[in-house]
Parts: sequence; structure tokens; C-alpha cells
Amino acid sequence: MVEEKSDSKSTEKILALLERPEMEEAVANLAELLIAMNESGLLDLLKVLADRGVLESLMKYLMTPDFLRMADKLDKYVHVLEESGEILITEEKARTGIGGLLKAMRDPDVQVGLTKLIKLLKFLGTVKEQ
Amino acid sequence: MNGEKVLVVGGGAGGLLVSNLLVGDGREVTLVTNNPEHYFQPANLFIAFKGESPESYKRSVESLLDPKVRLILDKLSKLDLGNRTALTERGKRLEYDYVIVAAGARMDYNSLPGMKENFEMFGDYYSSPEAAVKVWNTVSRMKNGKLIIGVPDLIIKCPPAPHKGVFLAAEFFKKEKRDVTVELLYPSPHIYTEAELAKTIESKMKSFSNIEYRTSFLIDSVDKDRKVVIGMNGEEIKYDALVLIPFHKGPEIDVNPAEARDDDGFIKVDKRKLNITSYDDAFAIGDCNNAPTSKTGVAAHLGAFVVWKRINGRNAEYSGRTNCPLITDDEAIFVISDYDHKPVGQRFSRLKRLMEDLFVAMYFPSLRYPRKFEPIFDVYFNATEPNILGEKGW
Ligand SMILES: Cc1cc2nc3c(=O)[nH]c(=O)nc-3n(C[C@H](O)[C@H](O)[C@H](O)COP(=O)(O)OP(=O)(O)OC[C@H]3O[C@@H](n4cnc5c(N)ncnc54)[C@H](O)[C@@H]3O)c2cc1C
Repeated sequence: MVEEKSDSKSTEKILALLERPEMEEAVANLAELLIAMNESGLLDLLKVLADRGVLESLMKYLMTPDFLRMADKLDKYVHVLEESGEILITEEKARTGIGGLLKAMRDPDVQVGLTKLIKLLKFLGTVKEQ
Repeated sequence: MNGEKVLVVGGGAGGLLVSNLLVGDGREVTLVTNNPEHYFQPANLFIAFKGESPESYKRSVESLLDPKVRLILDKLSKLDLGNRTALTERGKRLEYDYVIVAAGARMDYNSLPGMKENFEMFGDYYSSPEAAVKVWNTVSRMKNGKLIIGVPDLIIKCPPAPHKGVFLAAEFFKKEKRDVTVELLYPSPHIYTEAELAKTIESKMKSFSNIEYRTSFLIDSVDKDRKVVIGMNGEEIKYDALVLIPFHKGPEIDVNPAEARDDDGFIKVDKRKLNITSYDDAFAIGDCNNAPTSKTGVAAHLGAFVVWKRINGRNAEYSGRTNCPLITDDEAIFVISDYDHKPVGQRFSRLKRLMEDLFVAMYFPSLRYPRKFEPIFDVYFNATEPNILGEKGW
């Protein structure tokens, strides 16, 4: 005979779950959580988020090739920002004059840094207000 | 409604999606599948190399179907395209206005001497969660020596899955501080079929001290007594454990006319419209068809949407889009390509690994409620189209 589906399987599963001793505490916890979420407006926010239109808009905002690429490298950007931020916010005692600048220019790292700065300036110059 | 009787064959990703989509239009949908359970195949990797339980990645087909779909748990044995009829193994005769075959690929262990015995001994992570448990039983007990993952043929599901296995196994042995080397035997000249992506994967493999690989290695046979894999050039490689990726063939259905299938049994389709060659009321989606793209869940998913729209008179086409993740424990890349574009350049990142985790979490609900998930997936697929990501890659 050909086996066809029955509807009772999921009901059986739910009943079995309800009979578990941990269930009482879990349900009480859930009810408390629901009340708190309702009072704080979080439940309403979730309802909006579960609506596919809002989720779709959110995805459209986040899912662009540029955003995806940037998000992909966020850990690297954070590293660069953290390191350079530390330099920016720390009080600097040393002073550099023309002589010091010329000397620093012999440092290969400074040379690479300068190249990057020039590239950045060149790019900034091409950015137009959109 | 005209064309209201729809027959779907196979309760995998493609069959479940297309059934749920079409029944939502008010059609009379019957799904015939020979396995009451649907399991998430990519999770075989987590079972085989992380020891995870198969139960978390299984659901009953019934629970993933709209209750309005009529489910028949039986094997479809005959399909007569000319007469629009089908016959199940237990003798049920079915008629249809439209048929959609989504019966997946059949694993074949008989095309290579020694493969069947090897499968019985070590299992694999392609055929079933149970076979993946067998792999874990070996991997978790290995203290030293060499685990080989061998790829005899390139027409396989999720082409980067052999590499995923290599990375996950190597990471397991590294964490456990066990002296086991993992070696990949690969038939093409590069470590991945596409040369650019191969470079990215190769350099990741080189960053592991316990991964080795051989390219252009064509496996001829396996000698289980001497524990060697023998290459077509006569070269012999010794192993302590061996996982072979099985050959893939078309499903076991007697299709009339026989010309509807290619030499390996895959169902011949128009690669964009996905209708079975010469029929406009019959379609084949996912792993069971011969479309010249990778056999992936994404192809089955997109194929289901194309067929649903075409049956509703819309002019949808399948672009050949793939989106196979290649994961390590904490990073990933996606093999993104289509019929007109080779895979786009990628870098391994944690974001992609996180996105893969999100895809896994959405897997079962997205099968059950495809219309809800369509806009979300569409946004992702559109933003990551190969021609949009372009030279810059991702
Ligand atoms: C290790 C591994 C990792 C993977 N990773 C990914 C990944 O990361 N991303 C991705 O997109 N894809 C991945 N895939 C591929 C993906 O799982 C498959 O491409 C996808 O499941 C194909 O779906 P399908 O519906 O075509 O076939 P299947 O899901 O295989 O379903 C076919 C169904 O048809 C039934 N059936 C077969 N013959 C008959 C018959 N005669 N009568 C009735 N029923 C029949 C079967 O029982 C089965 O239920 C991976 C696969 C593996 C093995």
C-alpha cells in the first residue's frame, strides 16, 4: 500500500515536549520575557522586522557590492584605525623640522606611507558630492 | 486552472521548494519521494570532521511541506514523458499536466576498482549522514599517519567540498595535536578547476603544515590490502585512511524516451529554461539535470524558482549561478560563477564564514516558506552577481 502523510506527527511531538519536566520553568520564563519585551516595545520592533518588506529594505541597504567588500575587510580596517587612532590621541613630545623630515624620508616605511598618502589625496580629489 | 495537476519527483531542496511554490498558486501538487527524511547535505562535513550529530540536520519531508501538497513516500520507477504518466515502485499510477524531476544525483561506487570496499570500510561525506558518521569514527581515532581525500571525477556536488573536507580535517588534527597529514588527490592541473581561485586555495593550504596535495592525479584503483591508491601513471600513494568522493550519476528512473537522459543518466534540459529537451510540460532541476554548471543546492533553489515562474507564464531563466562556500573552521570564500562568467576573485574572510552560518540557519525555514525568503535571497544574489562583483571580486 502506498504510504501517505498523516497530520498527527507534529501534534505528538508538541505533546511530548509539553510533558517534559523542564517545560514549566521554560514557559514561565518565556512568559516573563514576552511581557518585558512587550513593555519595552521590542516586540513591536520585532513584528516590524519580521515583515518581509522591512527586512527586504534592510537587506537592500546592506547588500551592495561596496558594502559587502567593506564588511569583508572590517577586521583589517579596525586594526588600521586602532593603530593610527592611538598615534593621533597620544601626546607627542618629539618635534620634526625640515632636517628631521629629510632624514625620515630615507626610511622605507615612511616612503611607502607617503606613496599611500599621495594615492589617497588623488582619490579624494576625484570624489564628487553625490 | 489549466495545468493544475503537478507531479514533483524527489523530496530534496529542489523538490520541496518547487512543491511549496506551486501549491501556493492553488495547483494540485503531488510529491513522490523515496526518503521520508530530508537532510542538509553540507552538514555531512560537520558530522565527518567535527563529530556533530546527524539529528540536528534532518527534518521529516512532511514537516517541510505545505500541508496542501499530497505526499507519496515511494520510489518513482517509470516516467513516460509522451503520455504524461508515471509509475511508482509499489505500483501507483500517476497522471500529470506538469512534471518536475528533482531526484538528485545517484552515488556510484562501481566505476573504480576498490572503491566499493573502501566505502564500506571508511564511509564518505557525500552519500549520507550515516556514511559521514563512519568517517568521523575513523578520523576521531587516528593518532598519526595519513588521511587521503581522493577525487576521481569532477562532476560532483559542491565542487569545493573535497577541499572543505581537507581543511576541516587538518584543523581537527591540528587542534588535537595529532601527527596526521591530510592529502588531497585532485585530477585537474590546478588544485581547483579554475586557475585564479586555485591560487587562493593553494596559498591557504600552504599555510597549514599538515596539508599536502597532488594535482593532475588520476586515480586508477585502490588496493585495500596494501593500503595504496594507484594512479593511472602507476604511482602508488600509501594511506592510513582514505575517503573517496564517489562518481555521480543520474537518478534511477526509467524515463521514456531514453534519449531524455545523457550517457551518465542525467536528464537533458535546456540549460536556461530547464525544461526537459523537446518537452514544455516537463522540467528537471538540481543535481539530476545535465546543465553545464556545478551541482549545488543553489542551482536547485534557483531552478525551482525558474520553473515555478515559467509554469506561471513568466519568462524566467536560470543563469547557471553558483554560490558554493569553501569553508575552513573560521573563514570562507564563495565560488560565485554563472554560464557566462568564471568564478570571481575572492579572499578568505570571517564575514563570509558568518554569512555561511546564517545561510545554514535559514536553510529549513527557507524550504518551507520560499515566498517569504525570495526577496531576501534575491537581494543577495543580485548584489553578488559575477558581472557586478567583476574584476574587483569580493
Ligand atoms: C558534502 C556536501 C557539501 C555540499 N555543500 C553545499 C554547499 O555548501 N552549498 C550548496 O549550494 N550545495 C552544497 N552541496 C550540494 C547540495 O547539497 C545539492 O546540490 C542539493 O542537495 C541538490 O538538491 P536536489 O534537490 O537536486 O537533490 P537532493 O537534495 O539530493 O534530493 C533528491 C531527492 O530525490 C529523492 N529521489 C531520488 N530518486 C528518486 C526516485 N526514483 N523516486 C523518488 N524519489 C527519489 C532522494 O531520496 C532525495 O530526497 C553539498 C553536497 C555535499 C554532498
